[in-house]
Amino acid sequence: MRAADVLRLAFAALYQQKVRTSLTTLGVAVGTLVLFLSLSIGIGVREAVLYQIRRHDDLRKVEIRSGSGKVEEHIPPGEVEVKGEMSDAKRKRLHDRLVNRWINKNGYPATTPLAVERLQEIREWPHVESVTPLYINFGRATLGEKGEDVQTVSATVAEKLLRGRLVAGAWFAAEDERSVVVSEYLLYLWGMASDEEVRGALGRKMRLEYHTGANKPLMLMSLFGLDASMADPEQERVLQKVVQRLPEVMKKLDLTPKEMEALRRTLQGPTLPKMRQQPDHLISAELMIAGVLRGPEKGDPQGGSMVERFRPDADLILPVGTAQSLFLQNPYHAERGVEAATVLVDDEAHVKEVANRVEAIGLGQYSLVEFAERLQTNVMLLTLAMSFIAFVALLVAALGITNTLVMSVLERTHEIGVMKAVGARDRHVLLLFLVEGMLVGLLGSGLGLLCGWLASFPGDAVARSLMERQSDVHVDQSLFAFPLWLTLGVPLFATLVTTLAALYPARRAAKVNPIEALRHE
Amino acid sequence: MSRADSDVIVRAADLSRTFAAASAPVHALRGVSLEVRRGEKVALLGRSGSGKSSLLNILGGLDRPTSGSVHVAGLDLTRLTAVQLAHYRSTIVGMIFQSFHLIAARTALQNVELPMVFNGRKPRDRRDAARQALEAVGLSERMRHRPGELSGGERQRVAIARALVNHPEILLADEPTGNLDTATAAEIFDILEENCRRGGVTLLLVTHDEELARRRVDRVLRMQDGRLS
Repeated sequence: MRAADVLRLAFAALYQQKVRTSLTTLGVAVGTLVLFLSLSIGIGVREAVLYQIRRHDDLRKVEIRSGSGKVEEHIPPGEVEVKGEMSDAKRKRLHDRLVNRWINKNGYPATTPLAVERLQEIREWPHVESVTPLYINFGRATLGEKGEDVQTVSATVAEKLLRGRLVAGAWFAAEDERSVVVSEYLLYLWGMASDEEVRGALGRKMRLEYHTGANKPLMLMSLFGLDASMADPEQERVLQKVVQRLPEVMKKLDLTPKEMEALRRTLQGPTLPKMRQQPDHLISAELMIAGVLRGPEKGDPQGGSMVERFRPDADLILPVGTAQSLFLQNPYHAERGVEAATVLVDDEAHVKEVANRVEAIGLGQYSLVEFAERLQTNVMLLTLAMSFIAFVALLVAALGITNTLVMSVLERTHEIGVMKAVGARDRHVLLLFLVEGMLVGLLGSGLGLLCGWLASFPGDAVARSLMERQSDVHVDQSLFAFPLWLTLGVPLFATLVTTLAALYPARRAAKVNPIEALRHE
Repeated sequence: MSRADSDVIVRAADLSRTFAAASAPVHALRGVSLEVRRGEKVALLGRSGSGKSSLLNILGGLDRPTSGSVHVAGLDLTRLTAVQLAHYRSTIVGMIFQSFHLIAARTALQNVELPMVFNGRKPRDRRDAARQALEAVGLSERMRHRPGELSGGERQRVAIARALVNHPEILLADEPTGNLDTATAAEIFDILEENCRRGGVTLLLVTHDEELARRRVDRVLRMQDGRLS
């Protein structure tokens, strides 16, 4: 028997029962549609997320922070010892409180500072491509007569996210350039609002000053509920003078020697021991304004790295080399190192290894690899759940096929008898019914695929708008993915299921006894 | 059976066929022996339930005997596999029935084509052969009609065309005129006779029309209670 004849006969049989065939086909189409869409969106979302993260190499980054290690190793043992008889649990609770109190009093011990040498050491590790420290500092930026307190951050020449927000001028060309990129906000504070004025700022020289140590005069202002940034130079000078005279004034206060000692300790300032000992001197640099940055907007591409999230509001961006040289002039900074740095690993597969090593030397680390893994697992679980439902739908449709074909075998018993009487083999009859099941599967899944593809356009728009409304994330590509294996695999699978569903009726048909069947009219 | 014996096309010896039934087994055939020569026209007469159809079903390869031997055209039917038996049905033997057994949803042409579909003939060959067979039974004008649109006589003619389209060696006809009026029956018998003569086809005819049988066939066999008398 020829394949074309099998198809022709199977088609003819299906065509004879148009309504029944349509309904069965529709069932398969719905099952396929749901299966196809759930897999498609599962893959699509996963790809979109990964693409989003990968775009800025975020999956290859490990953020490192100066570690705190085991705090207790840095506390003299006697200070947090719990005395007296009690349960171990209670001893532990009290111990934890004592440790907390010690930290409140003495500050958090930086056990593993991210000093320059350590960054250099990490650069030498295998799989590490680069280590970029982030220098965040607070200083005063002065253009002409106008000074403003600013947060400064460092950025590399290769920096992409911030560079994307340049509205005038250019990004730095070298890491040690003596230039800055300033925010449009800072220019506004300096009195430059119009586009023309903004362009006029380019190429001008500004002065950046950092105080080492605490600025005690300005701190004093907070006593009176004033914002230190409001102080003008005159006020600052006066306050400076007051602070210098404070020890003399103290003597005139009516205090016992013990009280006097306590007050002196208080005035010595907060718990940063090094800072306290440091003379307040000024680090200053003259920098050229190279470019102007606008503030962040909704829909800006976002980096997943936390370090990068520090930056959007920065008023002054320094090339990383310049930032480092200024930063390290402060001995306190030189010793304590930077807050954070980004380690770029050569391959996603090695991120975990590097992250573990970072932890092993007592630094804090954060990478998106785990997050991405977790996200993928979640998406996969969701996809699995949806696919399961779709699978059930397909199974129901398959049962529909079985039912339809069983009915069909009963109705066509006579026909089967005739076919056998004129020479059809059992196998021919079996094949005919199997092919009927297969055809329903092919038609239904084809239809389901087409509908799924059509539905993905409005579906994508809806999902995207929901996502953007809720999470601010802008996705460029479709949330539905149609890889070839899916587009071919789903209908193949559906067809396989429907063909299997036809197996039982087909066997029954093949076993029909022709003599009895011919009596059956 | 040897080829030298080619003069005999059907040789059955001591055939019996028993059907298992709930109350007691039914003995449809009880030791039937017969020989039919090639080209012979034989009528099988008997009342209903005498075992005529059972014998025909065995000779047609639709059923197997419970015991005994049966050779048709040199083939030992008891030894053929199911697949070989299907091939036998589509090539060596043609069958027609009282109630025609056409497929209602298919046209006359498609019905006649059907036996050739299962032995893999090319569609064009098939169509030509079916046309010729339908022309031979005088139905060239009604090829595209479905059985429901044809008269009883026309339907039986389609069935005859279908039975003969593969050029069988023997035609088994089970009361082919039983559902037809006398005039049409005579007409159908003419067609049967003519076609068998032309193709050298042996005819084994089951009927209870004694008159028809006596006038038209070479030999009449009578069957009663599963035995030939």
